[in-house]
Amino acid sequence: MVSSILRVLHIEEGDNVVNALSPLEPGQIVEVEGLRVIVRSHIPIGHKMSIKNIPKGNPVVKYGEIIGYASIDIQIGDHVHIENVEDPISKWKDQYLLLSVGETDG
Amino acid sequence: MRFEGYPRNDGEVGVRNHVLFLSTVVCSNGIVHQIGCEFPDVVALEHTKGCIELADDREITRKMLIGLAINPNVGAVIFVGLGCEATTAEYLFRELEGKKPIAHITIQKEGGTSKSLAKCRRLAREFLEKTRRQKREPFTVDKLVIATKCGGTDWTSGIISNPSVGFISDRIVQGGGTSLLGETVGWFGAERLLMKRARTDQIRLDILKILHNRYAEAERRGRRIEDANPSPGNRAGGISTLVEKALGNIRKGGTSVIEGVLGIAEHPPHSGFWLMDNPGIDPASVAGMAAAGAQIILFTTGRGTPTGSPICPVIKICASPEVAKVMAENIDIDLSDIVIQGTSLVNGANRIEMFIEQVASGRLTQSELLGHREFVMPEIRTL
Repeated sequence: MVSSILRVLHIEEGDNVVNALSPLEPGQIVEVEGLRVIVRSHIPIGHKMSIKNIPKGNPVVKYGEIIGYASIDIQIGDHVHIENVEDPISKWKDQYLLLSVGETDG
Repeated sequence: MRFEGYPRNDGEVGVRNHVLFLSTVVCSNGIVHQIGCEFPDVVALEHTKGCIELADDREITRKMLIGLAINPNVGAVIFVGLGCEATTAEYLFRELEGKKPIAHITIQKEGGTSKSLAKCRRLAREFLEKTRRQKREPFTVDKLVIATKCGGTDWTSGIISNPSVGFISDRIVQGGGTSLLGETVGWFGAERLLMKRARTDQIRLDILKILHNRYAEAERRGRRIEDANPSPGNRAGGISTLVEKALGNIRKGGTSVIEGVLGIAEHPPHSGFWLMDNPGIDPASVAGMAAAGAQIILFTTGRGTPTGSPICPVIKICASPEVAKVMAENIDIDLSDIVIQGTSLVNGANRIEMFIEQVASGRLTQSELLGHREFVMPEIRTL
């Protein structure tokens, strides 16, 4: 949860991103659950930083859930945002479109 | 949770005692607007619907007009119609007669603007006097119906404001009250978590169905919902995908069992936690909740928004340190200390609970004090 220096928020144990609780700059070191992460890019307050390497196509996990897939290789300490995360909805759309027309009536 | 409200004939309780002038059709807006200018103490509600509409939209308009009128915050209602619309002022009067002080005017029957205005003025004076004489009485949380909404979402919404509101939603439900969560588009990618909480398999299917309908409609138009949502402001605030937004969004709804999925303006048949299939756009979403009988809207924001409601007090909750300062006059509850000092979410929730008690007993919210009464009549739409 909130680390003692209040700089990042790691919401669930399995999350591979954290939220910056203050702006982070390249070269700064952040400790997350005993892991030392070197910040690689400017991260505005509240934005996400990777605490694991996330190869292209792999899930980005926050709240313990998949929030998207890496659209390029993401390295530990990177700013994780729209430039490198793809929305997963289009991949999952089948589950919304699976129902036959009859079932959607009413 | 205790509060002092206005008892209604049907057993519901108002936290406000509005005299509502309600256009039944866009063509009545001129008269309703004029009355609103002349009598600042009435709520003059204009909208763009009521004239020729497809059957499903027409039905939403009809349910909305009825729902707004019977909202317990409305102490008296005057329907102002033109005369050629589908849902007439006279029909609404007959439907709701006896439920509360109610009147109707039809401009074509009345004989035009001046005669309609004269009758409206007389009714405004009469109903304002009637509602002013009513006194508040003590009630408990089982008489509360709250709706939760987020608008101008940023990274603080899903982490701080929404989970704090989620605690309150659960407390209200545990106390025998009712909590509504809407904004269907804000569930995409979080539906599995909602379905787990559904009381029955049918409700699980209902959740999938409404998401299916929205996604299929966008596809039919060759569009993708996730291209439009999150908004540029959400993205600037650190939200990367619609799924990330949705996972934060549904935390407003706490952990209570889902009793069912309601349509726009549909009153929950009994207390508990309910989903509502309604738009995400703030004033339309809040309007749908008001027409479903919500007395108070708990509205979280990260980017900051002034929006209010003509029917319900809107309690604005913000955890963004910057926005809580810059837009302080639009924020009722500042939770930014949770970000800055690490104050607990439960502490935040307790402050929201105290504020609800005060607002339910008459304390005005910032949106009320600043005169915000944004309103959009919901219609069939994707977003």
